[in-house]
Amino acid sequence: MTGDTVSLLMILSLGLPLLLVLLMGFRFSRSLAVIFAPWAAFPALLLAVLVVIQGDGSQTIVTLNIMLGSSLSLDATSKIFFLLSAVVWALAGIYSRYYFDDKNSSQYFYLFYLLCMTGNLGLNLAQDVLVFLTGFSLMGFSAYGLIAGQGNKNILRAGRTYIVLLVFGELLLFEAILMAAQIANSTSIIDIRHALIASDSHNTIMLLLLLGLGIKVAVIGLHVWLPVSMSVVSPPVAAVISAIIMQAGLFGIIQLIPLGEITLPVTGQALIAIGLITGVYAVISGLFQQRTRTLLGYTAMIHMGLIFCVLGLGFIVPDVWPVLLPAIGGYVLSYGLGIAALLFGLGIIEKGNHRWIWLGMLLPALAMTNAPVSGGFLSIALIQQQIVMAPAPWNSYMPVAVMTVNLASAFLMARLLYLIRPMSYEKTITIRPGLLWTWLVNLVGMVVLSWWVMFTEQPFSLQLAGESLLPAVLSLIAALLVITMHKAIKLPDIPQGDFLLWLECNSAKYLIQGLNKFSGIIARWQQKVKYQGIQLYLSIAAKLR
Amino acid sequence: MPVFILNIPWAALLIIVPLIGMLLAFLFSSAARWMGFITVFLNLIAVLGLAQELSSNGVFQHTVGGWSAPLGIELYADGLSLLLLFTTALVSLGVAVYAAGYFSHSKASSFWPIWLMLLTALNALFLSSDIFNLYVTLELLGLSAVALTALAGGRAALLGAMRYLLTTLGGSLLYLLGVALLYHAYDTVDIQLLSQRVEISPVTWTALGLMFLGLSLKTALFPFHFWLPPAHSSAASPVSALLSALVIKASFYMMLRLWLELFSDFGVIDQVLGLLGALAVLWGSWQALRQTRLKLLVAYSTVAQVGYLFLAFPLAGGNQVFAWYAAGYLLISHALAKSAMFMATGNLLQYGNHDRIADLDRVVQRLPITAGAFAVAGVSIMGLPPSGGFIGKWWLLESALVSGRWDLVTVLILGGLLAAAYIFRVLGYTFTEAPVPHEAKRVPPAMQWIALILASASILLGFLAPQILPWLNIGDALIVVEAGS
Amino acid sequence: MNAVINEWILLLVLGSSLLPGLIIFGLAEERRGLRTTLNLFGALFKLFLVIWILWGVFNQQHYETRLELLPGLEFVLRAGPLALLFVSLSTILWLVTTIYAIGYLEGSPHRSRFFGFFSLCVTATVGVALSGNLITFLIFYELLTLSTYPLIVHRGTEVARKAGHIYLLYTIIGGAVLLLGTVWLYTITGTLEFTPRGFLADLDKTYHPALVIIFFLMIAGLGVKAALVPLHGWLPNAMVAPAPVSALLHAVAVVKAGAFGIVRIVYEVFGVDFAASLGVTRPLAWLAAFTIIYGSIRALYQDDLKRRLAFSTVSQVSYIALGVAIAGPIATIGGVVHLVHQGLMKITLFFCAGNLAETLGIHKISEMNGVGRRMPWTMTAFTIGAFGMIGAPPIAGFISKWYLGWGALETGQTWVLLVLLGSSLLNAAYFLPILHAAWFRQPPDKWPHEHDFGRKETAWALLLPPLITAVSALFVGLFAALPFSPLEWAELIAEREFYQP
Repeated sequence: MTGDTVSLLMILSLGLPLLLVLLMGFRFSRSLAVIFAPWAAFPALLLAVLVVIQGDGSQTIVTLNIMLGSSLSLDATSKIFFLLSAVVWALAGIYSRYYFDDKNSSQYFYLFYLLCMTGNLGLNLAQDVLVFLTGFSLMGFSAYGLIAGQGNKNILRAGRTYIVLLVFGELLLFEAILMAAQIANSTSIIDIRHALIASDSHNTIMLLLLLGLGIKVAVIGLHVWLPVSMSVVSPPVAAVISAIIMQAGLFGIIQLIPLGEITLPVTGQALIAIGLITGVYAVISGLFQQRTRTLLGYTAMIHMGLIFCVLGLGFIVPDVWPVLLPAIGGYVLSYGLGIAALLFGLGIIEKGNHRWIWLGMLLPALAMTNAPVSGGFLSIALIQQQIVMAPAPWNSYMPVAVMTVNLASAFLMARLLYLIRPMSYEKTITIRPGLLWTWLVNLVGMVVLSWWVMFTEQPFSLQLAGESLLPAVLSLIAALLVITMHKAIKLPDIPQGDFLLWLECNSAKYLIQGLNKFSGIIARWQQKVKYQGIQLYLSIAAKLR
Repeated sequence: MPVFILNIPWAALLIIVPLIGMLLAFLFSSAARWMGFITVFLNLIAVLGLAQELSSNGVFQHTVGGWSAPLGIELYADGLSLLLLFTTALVSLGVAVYAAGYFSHSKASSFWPIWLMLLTALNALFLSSDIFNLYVTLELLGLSAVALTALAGGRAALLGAMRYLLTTLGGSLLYLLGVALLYHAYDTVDIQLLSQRVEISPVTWTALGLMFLGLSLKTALFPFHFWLPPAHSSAASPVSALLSALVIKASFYMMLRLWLELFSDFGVIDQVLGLLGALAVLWGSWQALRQTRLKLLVAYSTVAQVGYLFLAFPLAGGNQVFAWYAAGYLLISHALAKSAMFMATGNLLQYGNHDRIADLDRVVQRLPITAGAFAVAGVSIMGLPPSGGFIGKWWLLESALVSGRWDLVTVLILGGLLAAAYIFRVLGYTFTEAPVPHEAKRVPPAMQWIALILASASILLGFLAPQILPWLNIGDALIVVEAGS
Repeated sequence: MNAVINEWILLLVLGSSLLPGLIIFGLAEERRGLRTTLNLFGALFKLFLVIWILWGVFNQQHYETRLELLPGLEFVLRAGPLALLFVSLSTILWLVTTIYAIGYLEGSPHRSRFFGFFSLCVTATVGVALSGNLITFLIFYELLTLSTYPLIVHRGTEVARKAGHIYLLYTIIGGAVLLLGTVWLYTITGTLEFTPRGFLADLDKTYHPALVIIFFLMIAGLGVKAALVPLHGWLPNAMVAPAPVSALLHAVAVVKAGAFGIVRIVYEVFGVDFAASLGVTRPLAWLAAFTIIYGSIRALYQDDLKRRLAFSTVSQVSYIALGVAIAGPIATIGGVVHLVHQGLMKITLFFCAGNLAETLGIHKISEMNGVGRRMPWTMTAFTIGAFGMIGAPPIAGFISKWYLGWGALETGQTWVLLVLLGSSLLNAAYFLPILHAAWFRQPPDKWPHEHDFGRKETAWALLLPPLITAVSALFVGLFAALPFSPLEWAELIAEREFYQP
């Protein structure tokens, strides 16, 4: 296994999907491309596995003469995100092949699937901001295709919300990266990180970065696109959104912001606060959901909130970042594969529920509560260990807060399991084996990969495991509580999305009205001033005649 | 260069050839057309010969019949005369080709002799060196021009011709009075002798006033332009071309000549001429814009273009020879462009039997060459690059800016814009369909092509300034002779 | 021998479109084959010449033609790097547009006239690019006005006539103002030769007020064609012209000639440092910024596709002026390279709009529902162009925006970033709904006016040009770092002409 293989796989993992996109354009090769599309993530998957086995891929750098000169590589952080992406893309691709019946809509799906995948894998591989931005945009815009291409009547609203925030995010990110690159006088991500440490304007830049990328992560206030999108899309797309696209925002924050090298207590505390509010908010909104996928969207928000807390900790105590970073990696892997498994399972259940599928759903549900079924269990333990390093008020609040978030996640999982209980669905059609197999592979992958990654990164200690058991046990109790509660009280159904979405819709309405008025004024002014002048000129002869 | 070329009396030929041509055309009216062709062709050769002669020998002076000044008839030619002669020769050639297709046989037999007479008068005028000869040729010119105008027949043409006749006679009379005063005061009519003798005195002022008034009348300088639009628009198209391109230029030439040689240090008058010129530019262009008939539009455009020529007077005051170059250049390019424009108009008139601008009815497709000729000539009239008109305007603008005459700068810019407005008003309608389509008549290709060729020549002038200027400078024709030197 | 070629080749470049144009005027309507051959031959021959010159300039050859125009004033053609950038753009896009126009006008009347003026228009554009001094520039600038007028009124309708009048009303006045500025400058300096870093810096201080006025006269004159607000009114009206004309007008010829003129004036007449010290670049930057935002806002409210694109042009072309007015080396690169980038992207969009109109009879955005499924290739090209306009990487527009922003930061003019942000946002606001409608809405049962092209989505001659330009727009962004890319060339210009000691 040489560097050449890795380089080749890097090129292939981006090139193959693009080639297939091109082939889709021609009538003669279209069906061929659709046949191969589900397998397009496999070079990436192979690459990810190779690099993770190898330990570190950062010595292999592929230099590409695109944009202003770029290079691709996988370092310790990006390889985890890349692994997660590759696995979920591969699973989603194959799953979709069995999920969609309509040939036409599957063509559309795979077109955007391939584009979105290229963007996502590209941004994971990027060593410079231009390729990162390119990947980010490609992913973001083609994800709109995945969301809007589903032909649901709620699509318009979901798509509009998504695209508005997407565009804002892209632009803020562009400005931030441009400013950072100008200060660094380089487009390399490493240089930019370094330059940000010393720069005077790092606060502005980081704020812009956090806003731009925070939209993808769906932190509170910037999250409105997530629940609506999740509710209208098909399970594979939902898996892609919650397991990959949200992670891409997180990845950007970790890569671009010089975490661990810079001490910013205020920013850190703000992030922790935001993370906690996100978690609490998500659990309240999630508990009242009847729609399972929206509920999973809120679950995703809870986890991202937790990670935001960890990021905040990194800002306050940079010394512990080297420990936190792999913990985040493991956590993300575990969470991503877990939520993907939930969504894939949900897709199967919607087609036809079986008791044993419901039982299978228990596994990822438990993983989401950081029970010791996946590596997330160890990650959360590591994080708990480091949390006490936080400064004065936080060192006592944080453990409780993390626990709370954990519990909240357990509430939601319990609610989910209640909603999809076998008697709530009618058995309809036979399930295609392909769907089932994909799901099973996902379950196995979730367990194996997350444990494996945690073990390679972190020596296993029994004490650590023991400490982590408490939250897990608490979660279980909470879950049981929720399920029993459901039988007693019927919860009101709050509208899909939430009040922030309502606010956003209305403010957008006012904004548009305002713009309309403005343009009306301009148009009238133009009518008066300009056209009269022209009319005068044109009718000179006529008037004087 | 073979010596014999220089030995031929080209200047004399310039008068004799058209004269003989006229006689022959009159005698053999059935072959009048051919006589005319041969004459204008020989005329051009004679001009070229004269040019050769001038370029090797400098200013040409020749005493006819051995009588020397102040008594005899003397021929004189320098760069300025050459420019006018050359312009005349070119336009004549064009008009000859055009007229050959235009006139029916009966009209042609009277057209050609009169027209050759007019050519004779023009050539003689440009070659005269004394103010009385100038008067004689001017009178001859005026009368033949009136006759040509009346040739079109019909009430409008006769009315126009009548008005024209009265004006031209009045103008000549005023001029003659001036000549008489000068002769009385200085005892000579020879320009060169006069230039040595003339001094600032009430008599000279009166003479100057009378002569310039008369000539302004004939040049149709604002506000004496009243006769021009009816005359030019009612005449037959080749005649209109001649009148606009050449006839009014003759009296302008006289003013220029007299000013340069005799009156340059009299002051005031140049400012007055400049002011009238500016008003002519604005008024003429404005009126052109208002017209609904194409031929009237073109006629008013002439009023405006004449105004430009007069702008050179105040601007040249600061010894800005460029202003005179501008006048010379505008003169020749206007002659070419305007004759082309009248020919194109004539074609349109013949084609649709009307010249209502709004009903031009897609002539751009149906008579592309004519429409092209109109447009190309329009470019020069508007003073857009690259064209002779542009070069002239550039010089005017330059000297106006150098002498800080912002009023004239404004006039120049506005005049260009108005010109663009009226030209493109016409061009716009050449693309559209008329509400009522009209019956189309055939227009011979030669009549179309000659318009385009003349128009193109006015464009070509824009590239030939370095070649033409040395000719214009022969004899330092445009350098004002300082008083007493 | 070489010296002779170097002197005359530039005239040959002009002649390669002028002569075919003049011959085509004389061709009968039905001589389709000969006309097409002439057109393509001219375009290809010009391309060959331009490549020849590019290679020569790369090898330090000097190409210049001088003819005396007036005493002391010459008609100068010179192939500097800046000139070549624009010449290459015009030449390549002319070729593409010619192919497109042949397909587009198939079967419509008056094609000889159309192609004749089309060639004249390109001749004028190339002349504008190659001009070595201001008077030569002026000549071709006016020639451009004249040769585009017949193209705008080509349809011969009353609407077209009025649009043509409005076009002339603006451009003729603009031309007159430019002429005034030019003559005035000439009376002060006695020279009009384009010189790297300008030729005015050494003038006496007493002239400075006059120079400021001259600067704004010239910018006003050029701003008409470059469609700076409030001089942009002609542009949306000129949309009545056939699609290839709009494409050429917006991407290469008229609008670009104005923008190119602004580049010339600021860099090679005034000199950017001197202009900045006169304090004239700042107002220009504000004007450009205002135009960028204003054009985009107006674009939002157009339902007519071509009108929306027209207002988009108003906005986008001012990027060039903005890049120039920021007065820094990096922004210069951004502005100059946008000359090419905007050209490629906008011509793509207009080609696509033309395809929709010609194939399905679609003129309005509200008719575009589901058109992506009917004409996937066309809409793919459109999508690339639109994303380029928004400034999404890696399409050409992104590179321009990146350099503009970088240049603004470099000179401390952070407000420009807000302008870029606002512009991109508005661009997204008026392009993304189109893309959504085209790709994700259900197509109607019947298109407004459908032509049958068999199994193909439209004719080859209509489909290939937008694809070529779209791919080019993608590639000049994606491979911006390769030698001979527009970006590299713009960097060379910035180095060679503006900031070399």
